[in-house]
Amino acid sequence: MKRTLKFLARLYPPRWRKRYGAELDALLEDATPSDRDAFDLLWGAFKMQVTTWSFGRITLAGSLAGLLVAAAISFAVPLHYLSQSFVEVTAAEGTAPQSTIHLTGNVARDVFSRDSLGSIIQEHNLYPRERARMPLDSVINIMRRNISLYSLTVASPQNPNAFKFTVQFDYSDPRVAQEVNAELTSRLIEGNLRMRQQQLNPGSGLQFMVLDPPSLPLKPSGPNRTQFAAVGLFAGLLAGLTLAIAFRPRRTTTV
Amino acid sequence: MSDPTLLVLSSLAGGDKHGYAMMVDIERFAGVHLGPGTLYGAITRLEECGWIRPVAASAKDRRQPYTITAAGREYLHDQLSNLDRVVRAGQRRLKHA
Repeated sequence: MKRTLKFLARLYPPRWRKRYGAELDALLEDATPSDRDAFDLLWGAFKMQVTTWSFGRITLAGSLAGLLVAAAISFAVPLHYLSQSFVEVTAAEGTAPQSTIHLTGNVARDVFSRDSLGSIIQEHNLYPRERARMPLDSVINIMRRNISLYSLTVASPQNPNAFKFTVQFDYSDPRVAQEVNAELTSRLIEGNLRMRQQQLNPGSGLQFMVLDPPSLPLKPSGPNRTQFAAVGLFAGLLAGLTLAIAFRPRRTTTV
Repeated sequence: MSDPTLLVLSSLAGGDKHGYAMMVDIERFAGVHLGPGTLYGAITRLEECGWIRPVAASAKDRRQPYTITAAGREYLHDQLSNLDRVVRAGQRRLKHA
């Protein structure tokens, strides 16, 4: 421990060490140091270094530190992949576009229900780490956040009764993302068929057609490292400015 | 009280001391362990303010003793008076609570 502390004492600025270095070394030899003392010495060296730096240097160092931390975090966050499929929905003639969207929403609600998603999680063994440490309901909420259903075009002039939507699923494994997206898409189609059978006039329901089957994502959709770097740089800049303002008066006054 | 500046000045008010002796003394009278970084941060600031100054030590000894200056005594006196006012007010209010 004494060796560590002596090393940490070398981190003080040279000018400070010239004045106080020998007596600090003598104190470290006399004392019985602890882990807390090591941290205290490291923090003391950091503060003393910062008080000798210019405003610009502190800000620059803070920005660089933020950038490095953000880069480290972005590389620690696991990659995730987005699989998407395109589906066309056609309503019976005379159905209002808003009604088509409403009916599609009903089918989607059924497919994305707790029971439906719970069974997909079990069948595909999704989110094993999350399932080990949280209840299934929380895992289902995570899955819901990873599913997107976007309407692309509503009632095109060529076919006023049809619109397209895309089903997206985001997961850490590209192949599993594709498999689960295929499952979600086929459940949407099955759900629609079930709903049509339950209606008095099955001809008045919707027809789902898969335009593009679920894709196998080749490139990860995230994390967005540029975004991470930008946020890190901004946070570091703010931290650097705060430090520069906090430490600047100490060079001239103070206690 | 855990302000390192006041702790160091209070320690030196009892006589000249080097860093390690201050550390031990502060731990004894205040029950506060000042780490080496905190202690030398306070010593640096106090010397810059002119409230303590180094005193001659033997050439062989690397340990540097410090003494409190007249300005340091005055500053310590003011700070302790303020603290004393706060302590007395607090105690009075506790009695009436």
